[in-house]
Amino acid sequence: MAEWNIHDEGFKNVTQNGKITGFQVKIQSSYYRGIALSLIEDYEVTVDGETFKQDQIKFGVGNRNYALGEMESLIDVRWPWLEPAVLMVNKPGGLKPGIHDVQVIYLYRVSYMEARATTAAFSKKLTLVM
Amino acid sequence: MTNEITRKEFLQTIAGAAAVAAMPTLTSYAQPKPKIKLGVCTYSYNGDLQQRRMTFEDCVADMADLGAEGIEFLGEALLPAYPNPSDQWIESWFSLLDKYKIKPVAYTAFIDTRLYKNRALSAQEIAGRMEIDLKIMKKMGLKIYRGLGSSWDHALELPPGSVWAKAGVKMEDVYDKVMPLLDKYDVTIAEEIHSPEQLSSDLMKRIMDYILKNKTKRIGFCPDMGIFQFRMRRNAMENSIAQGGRKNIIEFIYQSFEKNVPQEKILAEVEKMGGNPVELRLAGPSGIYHGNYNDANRNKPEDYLKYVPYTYHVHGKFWEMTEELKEYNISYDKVIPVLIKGGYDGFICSEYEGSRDVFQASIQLRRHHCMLRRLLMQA
Repeated sequence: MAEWNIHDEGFKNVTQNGKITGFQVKIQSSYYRGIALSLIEDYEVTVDGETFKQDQIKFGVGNRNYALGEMESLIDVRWPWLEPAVLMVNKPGGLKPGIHDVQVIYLYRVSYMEARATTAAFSKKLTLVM
Repeated sequence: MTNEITRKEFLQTIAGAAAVAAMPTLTSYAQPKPKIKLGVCTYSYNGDLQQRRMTFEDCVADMADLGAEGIEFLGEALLPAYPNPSDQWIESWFSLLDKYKIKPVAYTAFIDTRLYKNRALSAQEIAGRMEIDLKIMKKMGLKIYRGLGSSWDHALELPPGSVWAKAGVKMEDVYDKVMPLLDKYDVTIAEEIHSPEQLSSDLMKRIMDYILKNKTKRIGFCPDMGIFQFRMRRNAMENSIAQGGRKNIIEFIYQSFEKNVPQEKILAEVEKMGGNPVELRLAGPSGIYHGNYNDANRNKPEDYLKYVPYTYHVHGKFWEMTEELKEYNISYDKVIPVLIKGGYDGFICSEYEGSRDVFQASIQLRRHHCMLRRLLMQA
């Protein structure tokens, strides 16, 4: 895990219809190639010790947001290697401005590894301005 | 007085005739420079690319500057809108190659056998996925497909009991389906032989059998130089400790490995010692035995000679070039002569896999090419 796996840019609250519905955080793949969305098995976000599971998160690539269940069959939609994915986390009221401990974990299948899926875990202190 | 006879008299003898047959021809007598060419895999620059220090063009400029002749391109990393590059991008690719005088050589390909969560791909489907990359290669003028090679067993048979393993697809089934495509797209698969593969393995034998049985030049080998690793990477133990392993347990694992204790036995011991996740992982199947050699299992460079005639590409894997211009872990000085002796005339594409800090690739690749040029000139 490196400083660039979680982006400072893009960490903010998300507003829909005038209400703060949650927050977003951008991650950059630690793998050495882009992958099909169908290879992603799970993801979760933990902020200041509060964990949000996959059903509270949408995965955003290429200007579209996906639920994990939707991604299972998407063998030809890609998370491009250099494009940060945007994790949109549902949390009414969002996060308070200030510094937060953010951790992102995601699992994806790598076909030549002994384990069924590989875990990527990134953590960083991020500043939420608004 | 000497007992020398004239050359004519010598040739008239039976011994002379046999000796002539065995003699190198006049051209080889002149010890021609090895025909081996040098290139770079774009994978080498992944750290700089991910950290935005370099663009793809910067990478091509860098490899041209250090004297590389050819490029190996990692499609799923660098092709915009993979797998559908625009015509405009293809044009820019050729302009770039022309501008920097770099030849298109190889394509680093992958197969996601676990593409679907709940089912395996058939051999036909796998060939279909390979065809996606073959089409790209044709557009890009790339002729060598870096294949899964020693990872086929992993991709088709792991995890044990999984829905993918149960399908029982064999590497040879995939080859049967893909062979007609190789002629269609004029591509050769160079199967990557990657550590911890042993040259005496069943898989090496199966690939050779397939090549010989089908009398084909469309499938061959791409040895990754990591298969000739002769010692641990520098600070390997310290790095394991830095990751959270406890000194006594980490030392136990490394020492057991060097003493050729079987992996399962090391893991059992670590479990008894109450190993933490870092320690358990190191002692597990994806740990110290994955990608490292102890002396029971080390490959000898001379054992590769018989595979050279079937070798169409080489991955110049390296992790650390010292200031003495030697690779700290891999015996290049013993391997290059074997490639030359076997008549290898393809590319060695440097594959840097050391620290991903910015600038390191450019520094290390230059040292690597210095070493390779020296070893080739010494031949």
